Amino acid sequence: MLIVEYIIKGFLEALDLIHHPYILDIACRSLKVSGSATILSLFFSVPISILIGLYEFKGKMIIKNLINTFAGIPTVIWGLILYLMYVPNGGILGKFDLLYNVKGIILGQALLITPLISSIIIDAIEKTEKIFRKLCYTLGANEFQTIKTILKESLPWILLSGIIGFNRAISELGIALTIGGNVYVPGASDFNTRVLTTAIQMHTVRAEFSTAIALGIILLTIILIVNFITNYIKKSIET
Amino acid sequence: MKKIIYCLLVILSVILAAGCVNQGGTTNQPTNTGMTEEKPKVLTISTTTSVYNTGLTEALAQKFKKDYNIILKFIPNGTGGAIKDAESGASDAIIVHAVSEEAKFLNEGYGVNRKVFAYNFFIIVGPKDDPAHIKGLNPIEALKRIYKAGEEGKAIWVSRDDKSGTNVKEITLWKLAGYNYDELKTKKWFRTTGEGMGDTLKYTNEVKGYTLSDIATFLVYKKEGIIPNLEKLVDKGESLTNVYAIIIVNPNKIKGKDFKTAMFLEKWLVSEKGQKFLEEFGKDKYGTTLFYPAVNVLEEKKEPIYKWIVKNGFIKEGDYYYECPEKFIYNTTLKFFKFPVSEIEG
Repeated sequence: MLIVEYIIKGFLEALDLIHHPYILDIACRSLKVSGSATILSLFFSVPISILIGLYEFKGKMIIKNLINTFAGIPTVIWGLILYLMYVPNGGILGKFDLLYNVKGIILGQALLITPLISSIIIDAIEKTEKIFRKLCYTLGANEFQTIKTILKESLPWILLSGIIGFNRAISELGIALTIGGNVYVPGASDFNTRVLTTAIQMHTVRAEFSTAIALGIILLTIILIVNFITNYIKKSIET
Repeated sequence: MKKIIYCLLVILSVILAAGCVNQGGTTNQPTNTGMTEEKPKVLTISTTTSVYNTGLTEALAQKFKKDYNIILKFIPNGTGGAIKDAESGASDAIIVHAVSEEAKFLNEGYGVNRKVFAYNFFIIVGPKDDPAHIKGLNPIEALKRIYKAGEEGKAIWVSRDDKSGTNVKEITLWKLAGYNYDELKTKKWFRTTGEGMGDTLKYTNEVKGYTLSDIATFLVYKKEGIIPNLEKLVDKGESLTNVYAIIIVNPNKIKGKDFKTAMFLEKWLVSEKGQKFLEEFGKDKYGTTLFYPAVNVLEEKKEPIYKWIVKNGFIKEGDYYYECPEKFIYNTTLKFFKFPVSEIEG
């Protein structure tokens, strides 16, 4: 009973709160951080995945297995690893002022989604390679033209991987909380690190459920849209 | 196929644009404000969760941004985590409430200029029907009764077991009552959550158990109606005094920290202005002060509270109770309290 009441009351208040600048500020930061993380991750995962996907070499299976394993590391463990890397005293990245800073979250989320993105791209390239390499050769294409065709055919998959990565990044809590610290000072947006997930967690702990629900609605809407796009792309690729 | 790719490119550029628009927003801001104010100073302060969860930290941050153009980045970590943060060079100062841990931190050379600025009381909360009959007792007697009732299968105790200030206090209380915490943890009626105060209270409410809580979190949860089964049963007593202190990171041990600004915050907290701010905080929302100012009580030696603060929040060395032992006072004109042991315990 209590819970149902809370959800209804919270939901109604949440609708009022949704266009509050505080909520919008946090939602924008979330989009910005996870969007940047996705783009950063694509920068290093795309070339690596293309190399792994296109060529056969010793230990390829092991590398692919490793990538799949890394994709499954829980975000709290990433948070812990990154914290130890970022701490100014003794961390290997301690000099770069990444702890309790959005830069740190962006790098962290980029690392988090890189295995996920890579494994999707590698699979896609291997699949298209199987179909197109022989075909291209029989049509008289040289190696360069063949690779160009394979990459062109894999492009939708690369975009898809980015969107799936973004979805994972925006909905993760462990890194944003441990590395970001959920800092929020009104009017100091350069220093704030509060994103949707950490804000929801905090407002829940503080028993401010309406705010938590309002933030939750925004997060769910973003994820819903992202999933819709994902399914659309998947369908288009298959047909 | 081409159509799809175009479609995807549009989507990607939307995501990109979302990022860029915001980045534009954040880079614009300093130039706008840069005209009128100088670059703000930034302090990272690791704090206990009880200070954070009540919203005190945000109220402080807002005030400092507005009045002094100082950005206070509060990181909620619990006393143990806050100390770890400071040791690893992540923070400029810590706000904590576990004197034994603080003394260790000072002795290892990481902190200086420890200053007590507020106090309140821990409370023992439990189910309305109070099966162990502890209501109104002193805390030690209450724990003894809970132990007895627990052994008889009538009561459940919930412990945080997360090395927080509240947990450290709980361990001390059990010790004063004559029980070893590690042995208690093996009992069937002794549950541990490993979670923060809020979740622990929710769990305690669920199992209709007893637990030790800080007053602030309890009031917030009670007001929201989340813990209808729980009542405040023991709220007074010397051993329940909860003393909050700020410690500045030692600039000689850890380089690159903003000692000067951190000292400014410390001085403000114990100034008349800061003490008034603490007293007023939360009054409108909860009808009571959540963090009582400590400076005046110590200055005027208000009985019996000042003795309670000293016993629970000062560091005992030789014949004196020190707010901050003299060897850890560094480069400041701030006055630090000390009281002879004979005066406090006599």
